[in-house]
Amino acid sequence: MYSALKNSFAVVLLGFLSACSSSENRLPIMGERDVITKEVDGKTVTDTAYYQIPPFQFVNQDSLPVSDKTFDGKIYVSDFFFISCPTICPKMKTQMKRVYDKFKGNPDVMILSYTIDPVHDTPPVLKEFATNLGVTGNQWQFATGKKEDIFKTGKSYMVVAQEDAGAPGGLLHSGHFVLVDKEKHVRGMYDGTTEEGADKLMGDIDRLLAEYKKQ
Amino acid sequence: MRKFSIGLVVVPLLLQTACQSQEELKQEKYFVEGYQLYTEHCANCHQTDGKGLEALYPPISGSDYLKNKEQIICLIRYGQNEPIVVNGRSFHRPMPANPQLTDIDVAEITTFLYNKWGGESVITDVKEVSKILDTCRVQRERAKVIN
Repeated sequence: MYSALKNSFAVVLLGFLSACSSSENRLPIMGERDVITKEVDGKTVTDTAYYQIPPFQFVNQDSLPVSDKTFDGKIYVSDFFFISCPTICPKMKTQMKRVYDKFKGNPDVMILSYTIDPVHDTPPVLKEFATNLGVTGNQWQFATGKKEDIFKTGKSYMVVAQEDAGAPGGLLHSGHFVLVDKEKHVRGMYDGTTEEGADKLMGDIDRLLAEYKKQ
Repeated sequence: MRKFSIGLVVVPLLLQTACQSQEELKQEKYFVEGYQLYTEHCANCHQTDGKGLEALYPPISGSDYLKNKEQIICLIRYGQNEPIVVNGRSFHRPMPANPQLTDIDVAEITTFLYNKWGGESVITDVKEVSKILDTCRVQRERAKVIN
């Protein structure tokens, strides 16, 4: 009994220690989490199930399929925008371009911008926009598809994307950049309309890349 | 007597600075308010430094299009739907109109643009701007009738 207690003390202590070190170096995992109980080798163990971005399927600027599988084994940054948006989108694209330029050619990092105005922003229109922005290759994916599906996907990234007659351009969306890790966990939300927000994101991408290097 | 003579020198000096600063104040008001309006209505695309963004949004700073001042005054209010060539590069995304900008707003933005990036050091007065805006409004209405 005594030794069992001692053991559990050790485990708790270890737990605290690792908690400390993780809070220093690791980015948080965001979203709701569940504690699940399962049987492993006849023993009951509890585990934490973190929120994951659910599967999705859209079409990109080259009219090719783009899905959650496109980002398997990648860290990626996602945002929601539309081309004719006169307000925050140009700011967001200015900042996202800085992120793109910094991680250009890094095989572990991708960007995914969903348009919330698929009627106007068809693949050829997205392609022209990407080219004019100075984006080549497939590291930065622009996704379009059914409006309802995109709005639903917006919710899955914990951001707002919806129609709103009162908003300029008739569409309302958040100006956030969402950082997703290789396990599809959301690891950070950033203000995509400011330089400071993008700077913080770029710093956190470096931290996240370092996490994977340690493993 | 001595006090009197100092007054003779000081009073005209004060009058002079008062005159000057009224002109200066007007220019400063145009420039500062123009800067604020630019930040609010233009900088999202054309950027705070006026350099534009890649091939999407044309630059204003260093732009050879600044020579078309009347067109610039018109497009600030009425937008630009035709492709535009800036420094030999063609831009064809439309620029939205800004009907909410008043004549004085447009004059202040124009003053800011031309003082900052156009090598001008005088204001573009609202009277001048109102005339130009009237002309292009009429032109646009005519164009609409023809089409």
